[in-house]
Amino acid sequence: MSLVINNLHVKIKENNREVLKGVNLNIPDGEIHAIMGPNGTGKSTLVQTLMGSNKYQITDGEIIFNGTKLNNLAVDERARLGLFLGMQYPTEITGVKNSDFIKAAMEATHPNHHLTVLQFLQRFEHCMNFLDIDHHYADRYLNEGFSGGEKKRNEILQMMMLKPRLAMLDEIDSGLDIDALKVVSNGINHMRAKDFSALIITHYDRILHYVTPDVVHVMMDGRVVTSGGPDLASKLEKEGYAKLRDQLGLKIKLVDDE
Amino acid sequence: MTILDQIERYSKANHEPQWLYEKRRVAWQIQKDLKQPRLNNVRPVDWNLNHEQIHWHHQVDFKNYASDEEQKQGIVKMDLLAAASQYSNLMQENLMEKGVMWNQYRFAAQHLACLQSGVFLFIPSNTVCSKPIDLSDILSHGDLEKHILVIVGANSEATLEFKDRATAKEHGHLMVEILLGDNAHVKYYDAAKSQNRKSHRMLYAYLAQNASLKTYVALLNYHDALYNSQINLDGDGSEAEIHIINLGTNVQHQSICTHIINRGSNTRGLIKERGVVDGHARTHCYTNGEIVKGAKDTSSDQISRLLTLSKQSRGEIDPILLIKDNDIVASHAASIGKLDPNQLYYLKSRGLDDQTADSILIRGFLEPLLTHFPDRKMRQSMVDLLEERLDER
Repeated sequence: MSLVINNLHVKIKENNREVLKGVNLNIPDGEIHAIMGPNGTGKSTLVQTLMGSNKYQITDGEIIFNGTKLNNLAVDERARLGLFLGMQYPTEITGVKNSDFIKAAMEATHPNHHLTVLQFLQRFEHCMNFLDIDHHYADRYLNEGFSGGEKKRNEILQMMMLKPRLAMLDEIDSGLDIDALKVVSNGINHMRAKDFSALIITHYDRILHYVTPDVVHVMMDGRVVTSGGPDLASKLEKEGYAKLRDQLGLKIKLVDDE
Repeated sequence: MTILDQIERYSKANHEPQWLYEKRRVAWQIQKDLKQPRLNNVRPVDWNLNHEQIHWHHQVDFKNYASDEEQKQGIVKMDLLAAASQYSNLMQENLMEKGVMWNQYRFAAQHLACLQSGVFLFIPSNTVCSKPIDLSDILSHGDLEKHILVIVGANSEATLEFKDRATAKEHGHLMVEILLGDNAHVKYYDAAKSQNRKSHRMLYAYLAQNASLKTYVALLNYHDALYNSQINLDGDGSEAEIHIINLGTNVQHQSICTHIINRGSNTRGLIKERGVVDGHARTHCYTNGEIVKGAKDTSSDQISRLLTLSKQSRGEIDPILLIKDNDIVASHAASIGKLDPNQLYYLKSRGLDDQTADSILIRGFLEPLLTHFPDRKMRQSMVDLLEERLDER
C-alpha cells in the first residue's frame, strides 16, 4: 500500500502556467517523507493537487493511492480514502464550532466506526491535552481569531482525531515557536504506524530534528531533483539550494536568485 | 351575505361592545379607499389577502389562561374578543390605536373589520415574570385574521414566546401589538413556521420612557411570506433590537420589512438580519432606521446579510436611514453573497460531502444570530426548526 505519483504535470487554472513538470514520487505505507525546496518550485501545488483543489488542473500523469487512481476523484472522496492535508493557511469559519466540525469530519471519514458522544469527548480531550491546547478551543469557532501557531496546532489536532492513512502537512512548522514546534512534532511522531504515512513540506530542517523522515526529497522547478536520507536536509541547511543545483548540473533559475 | 353582514352577525353573536362593532363596520367601509404601504423601489409580497371566505366560527371564552402563579401577580392572558367585553375601556383605548392605527392602511382596516380571534395579555406594573409566557397556546392558528395585544405596565419585565402552528393552507395574518409602559423590559421570541399559502405577520410596538424591547424572530415559513415589524421609540431612553433569521427555498417569495423610529431622545435602535435563499426563492429585506427631528443623542444601526445558494435564487436588501436630526449615530451594512469556496474546500478536505459542507456553512452563517438567543430551550427549538427546513432542500 502506498502513494505513487507518475510523471505528474499540473497547471494553475487561473493563468495556465505549468507548475509541476513531471513529478515522480513513491511513499510506501509506514514511512514519513519530507519535501524541501526553494520558494515557488511547486511544493504546495503538489499537495493541493493531491487533495484535489480545483485551482489546479492535471494535464498529464497519474496519482495512485492504495491502488485507486485519484485524478478524477472529488476532494471529499479523497479525504474519505484517507488523505489529509494540513493546510498552510487554514480557513476561518465563523459560526461552526471546532468540536462540532471535527465530530462531523470523523463521522464522514470513518462511517463504520461510530463513536458515542462520550467516547468522542474523551478522545478529543486526550488529543487536546497531548497538543497542549486549551480546552475552550473546543467551543471556539473554527480557526476564527486563532493565532498562526494555534491554527497549525488545530490542524495537527484534526489529523490526530481523523487518523488519516496519508497526512500531507504543508509548512506545518512555519510560524511556530520552539515549544509549539516540539508539540506539533510529537503529534506527528505519535501517528507513526504501519498503516500511516506522511509527507511533510518544509523550508527548514528544523522540524526534521524532531521528526526524523525516512526520505527527504528536494523539488526544484516543478520536479523532484534528488532524494536521500535525513542527512540531505542538514546538508541543504548548510550549503543552500543554489549549491545543490549547481552540483546536480541543473540549469534552473531560483525565484530568489539575485 | 355581504362581508358587512357577516361582520355584524359575528360581532353580535359574540356580544362585542358597541365601539368594536362600530369600528369594524367603519373599517370595512373605508378599507377600499385606503392605500397599502408603498416601499421605495420595492416589489414586495402582495399586501392583499382574500377576505371572501372567512370561517366565522369563533366562540368567545372568558377564562384567564395565565398560570396560577401569574394570576396571583395580576396577569391576564385570555381570548382577545372576550377581553374586548371584559376590559372594554382598556381595549378601546389600545387595540390598534397606539402600535398601529386601524384606519391608516387598507390591510389594517381589513384586519380590524374581519378580526376573528386573538390573545390579550396584560401584565400589571411592577411585575417581574419569572417564566416565559407562551402567546400561541390559546390562539386559533387556522383563522385568517388573528391579533395579539400585549400591554405591559411600568417597571415590569417579561419574556414572551410565540410558537407557530399555522397549518392551514389558505391565507393567514397575525398582527402583534406590544405596548410597553415606562421602564418595562420585554423579550419576544417568534419561531414562524407557517404553512399558509400566503402568510403575513406583523409586529407593532410602542415604547414609553426607558422601556426596552428585543425581538428574536426565525422566519422559516413554507410559502410566500410578508414580515413587517415596526417599533416606535417614543419614550426618551427607550431601546429596541430586532433580530431576524430567515430561510427561503423552492419558489418562495418573502418580504421582510423592519422599521425602527427614534422619536424620543437617548433612544437606541438596532436591526440585525441574516437570511438564506435557495432554489428559485426570492427574499427582499427592506430595512429602515428613522430618526425624527428633535430626537437628540440617538442611535440607529442595521446589519443585513443574505446568502444566495443557487443560481436562480435572488436576494435584495434595501438599507435605508432617514435622519432628520444631527446629534445622532447611525450606520448600515448590507451584503449579499454565495458560500465561500475556500471554506467549502476546507470542509470537503476533511471528508464532508457537498451537502453536509453546505449545511454546516449555512448553519454557521445563521449561528452568530442564534447565539444571541439567551434561552437555551428556545434556541434549540429554533435550531430544530432550521434543520428541519434545511433537510428538505
